[in-house]
Amino acid sequence: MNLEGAGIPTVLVATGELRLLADQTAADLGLANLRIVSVAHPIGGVAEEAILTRADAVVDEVLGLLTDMAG
Amino acid sequence: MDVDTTGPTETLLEVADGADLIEVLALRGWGDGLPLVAPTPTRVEAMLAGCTGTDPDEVIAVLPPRSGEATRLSIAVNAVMAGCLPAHLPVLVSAVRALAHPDLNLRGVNATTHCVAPLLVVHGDVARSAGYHGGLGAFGPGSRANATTGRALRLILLHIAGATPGDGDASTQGGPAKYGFCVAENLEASPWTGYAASVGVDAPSAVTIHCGEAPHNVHDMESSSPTGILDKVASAMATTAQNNACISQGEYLVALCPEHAATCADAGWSRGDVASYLFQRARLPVGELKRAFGQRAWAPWMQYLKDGDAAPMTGHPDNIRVMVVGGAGRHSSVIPSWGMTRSVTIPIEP
Repeated sequence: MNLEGAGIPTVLVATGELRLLADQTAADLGLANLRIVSVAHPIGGVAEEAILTRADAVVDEVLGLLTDMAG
Repeated sequence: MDVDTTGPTETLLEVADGADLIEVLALRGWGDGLPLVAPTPTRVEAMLAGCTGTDPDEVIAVLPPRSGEATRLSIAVNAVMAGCLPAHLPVLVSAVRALAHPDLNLRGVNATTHCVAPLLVVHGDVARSAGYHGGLGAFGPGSRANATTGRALRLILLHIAGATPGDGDASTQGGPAKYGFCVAENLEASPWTGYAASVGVDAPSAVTIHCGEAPHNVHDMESSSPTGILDKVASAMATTAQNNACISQGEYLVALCPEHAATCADAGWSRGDVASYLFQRARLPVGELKRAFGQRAWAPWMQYLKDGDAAPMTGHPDNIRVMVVGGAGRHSSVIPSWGMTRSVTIPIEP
């Protein structure tokens, strides 16, 4: 959120369980339209391989949000 | 009960006689689940008399995550709801100032999944004059000043800061300390100078906010020397089962009971000696810490320790904060901080 506030295009990745907190925090900081992508919860205690699988599943969405923003 | 919450922000809520105030407020997302005192204009005005001669609309602090503006007026409203007396308001206002200090990192404290809660410690003259209790059973229950001021601080976090579970407070399990966590330093029974003066706050009255876990008990009935007692304190500190374990800036509040403190002082130990000894004794093998925590927020020098070395649980003796709390008996407590926070001590405003 600090990056987005500084004008650097940013996508925030949050787990589903903490999405509400992410949405509210962004709104509180005046970034209600911050690009946020949800991944499955949890991240803690999950093997790196599984984390990479989750990242692969959302990478197109992340790139799409950044591309749309640039266009 | 139907309540219209779509209109403009209310400044005065009318509640019918006989209505359940807890339910009326809960429908707006207010309250902590316990009965509340209705903050009528008359009661709020009476509460503000506790800060005579000050501006009720002055913004004391802007509190994250919601960036809510805490004024003396809005603090007084929450003080009434919690059951405070006007004499408690200056303590509460000062506590809010301390909460907003950048070193405390209130945004992180409120947002983390950890169970951290701000512990408010009251020091000096105001503890006596306003009824704050630091003696037998100091952490509660029983003292109105401790209970209501601690609760009011939580209500301020809920209502003004927006630290509501889910969208403003992500604590996995929450914790009993989140209902209210306030105590007085037992200066009368302390063999040392007051805690506030020891950290450079030379004022008749002061408050400390330490954002930590609930107290971890240390029981020692046997020892007649400081080392026996403090080795047990060190044992309570040297565990991987606390958030500070992998954070070298983490603080520990060591609340020594008067009898344990007297044993230390009678042997000629100062508060600093106690902290230095605990820094040396509260250690775990580097290899154990590395196995427990893949990611460690360690000071640069700690990165060079070898697996067989004994790593201190915190990076500096000054991170071990010692004060006297409680009454007769030989039970002390360790209150590890959340880690990414520093305790803040400030004078109480007139």
